[in-house]
Amino acid sequence: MFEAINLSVWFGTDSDKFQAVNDVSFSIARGESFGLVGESGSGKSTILKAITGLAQDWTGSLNVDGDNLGHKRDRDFYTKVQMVFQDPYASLHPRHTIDRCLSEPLKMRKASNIDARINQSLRDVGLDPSYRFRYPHQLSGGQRQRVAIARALIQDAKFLLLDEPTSALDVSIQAEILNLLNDIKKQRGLTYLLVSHDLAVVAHMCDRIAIMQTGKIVETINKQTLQTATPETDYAATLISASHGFKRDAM
Amino acid sequence: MTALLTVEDLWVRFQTRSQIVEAVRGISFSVGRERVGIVGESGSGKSMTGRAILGLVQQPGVVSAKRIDFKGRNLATLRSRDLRAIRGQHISMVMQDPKYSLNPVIKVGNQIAESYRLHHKASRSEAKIKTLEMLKEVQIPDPERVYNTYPHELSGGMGQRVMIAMMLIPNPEILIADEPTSALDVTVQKRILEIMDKLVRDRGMGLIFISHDLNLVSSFCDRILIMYGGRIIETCAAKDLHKTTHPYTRGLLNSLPSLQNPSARLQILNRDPRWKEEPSVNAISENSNV
Repeated sequence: MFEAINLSVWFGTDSDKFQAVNDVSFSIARGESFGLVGESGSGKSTILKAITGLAQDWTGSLNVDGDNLGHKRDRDFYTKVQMVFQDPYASLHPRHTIDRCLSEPLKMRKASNIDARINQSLRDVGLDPSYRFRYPHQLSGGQRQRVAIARALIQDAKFLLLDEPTSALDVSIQAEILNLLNDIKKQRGLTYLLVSHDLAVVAHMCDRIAIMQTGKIVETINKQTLQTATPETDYAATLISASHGFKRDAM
Repeated sequence: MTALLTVEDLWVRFQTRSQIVEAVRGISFSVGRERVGIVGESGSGKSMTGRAILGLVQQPGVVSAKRIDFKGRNLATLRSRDLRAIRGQHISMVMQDPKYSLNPVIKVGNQIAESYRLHHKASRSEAKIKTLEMLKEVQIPDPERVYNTYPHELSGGMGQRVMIAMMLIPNPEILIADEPTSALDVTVQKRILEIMDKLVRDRGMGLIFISHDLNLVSSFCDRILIMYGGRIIETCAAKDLHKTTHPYTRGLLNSLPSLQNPSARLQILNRDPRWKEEPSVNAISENSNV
């Protein structure tokens, strides 16, 4: 479904040029969930940006569903790949109703049956169609994130890029959203690329996990090794022990 | 039993155009020389509790309490002048995000020195020496350099250490930490917690640790108060968190994805409207030792 080979991404120009991602390769099979974990500045979100075309200074090769990506994305690309952002308070236009937010991509593609599709897409993410004419500030954080997922799915995209989709939410709401993502994935046979700093969340969602540090993938582990075996690199071990809470050394 | 701080029947109310919103609804608790964790989801009133103790609730919020007793003085009835003398020197607060809590146009060293000079009669050079010592104590590798930097030149973890240094330099007896590590990476978080833990132990401070992270609080604190809808619904010793019985606490614990016991589906928390009506649990501890 997706393949990145020797991907490097830069920000800035000339003397300020900074390499955020350094020669990263990985592939994701159809229907798989792949996780990227790492600390801030490790380049995990930058990879998503390069795939969606938000970061344009990259080299290497990106391949989605058999097509090699150039540096420009056409409209068809966004019917295949969509992104769900971290902060549902910032990613929905505050002055647009939910209806406008969901109908815009359909109108751009001159789709038919817009009315029915919006109602259906709201129902699919567990929202009542009566929310359709509300503004984002009238919804809770969890409801907004559901709208963001509905927006990503309304063009029937098969490959979703999830950038910390639950880190701005309370744990009880996080559970609802993670369950929703898993349900939708099963129903529609979606492929996920999930980025998070929370190892427990990634382990819950993903089959394979790549651990990133300073722009490189230091280790790729699968779910089972995470629970049973010890990881190969020290950095991965540190991340795992840190997610178990605070350990007080002998007092 | 003499607790450092005893809060009895604390309320925080906000008058809006149409109604009165009650953010904190009659809670009672005490803090000795121990680590007390306050956990809850957004809107549970945990941050407001911390702010109310120091009189930092902004208009139109109104704080009322039967008493907020700090070593025999009732903070609830103090004039703002007298409260200012306590805030910082005796009780201080570390906020969540150093980016928004430090003055962006003053060098961090001068900010810390200012907080020392405010509470002690000291010359500039004395304050500088104290500041450098404090920076070393929060394990900043190169205090001289950091003294002369501006907040934007520091990383999140360094900024948070500077904040902690600034709050600890007047040598307070109680430190209120409102989500001090939520904005930080896990490995940095660990280091900050270790620093706070050591300082609390060495100086015999009381710590109120406000967080949404149940696992973190249960592994870091001595005692936990669990807040929901402005009330304390349950309190327990931190190590007994897994023995709690309230359906809300259970629900929160079960909705966390776990590395050790993975499950195909996460449990959803079903909120019972009756939880909001339950009386607040009295968390004044009889054995908070001094």
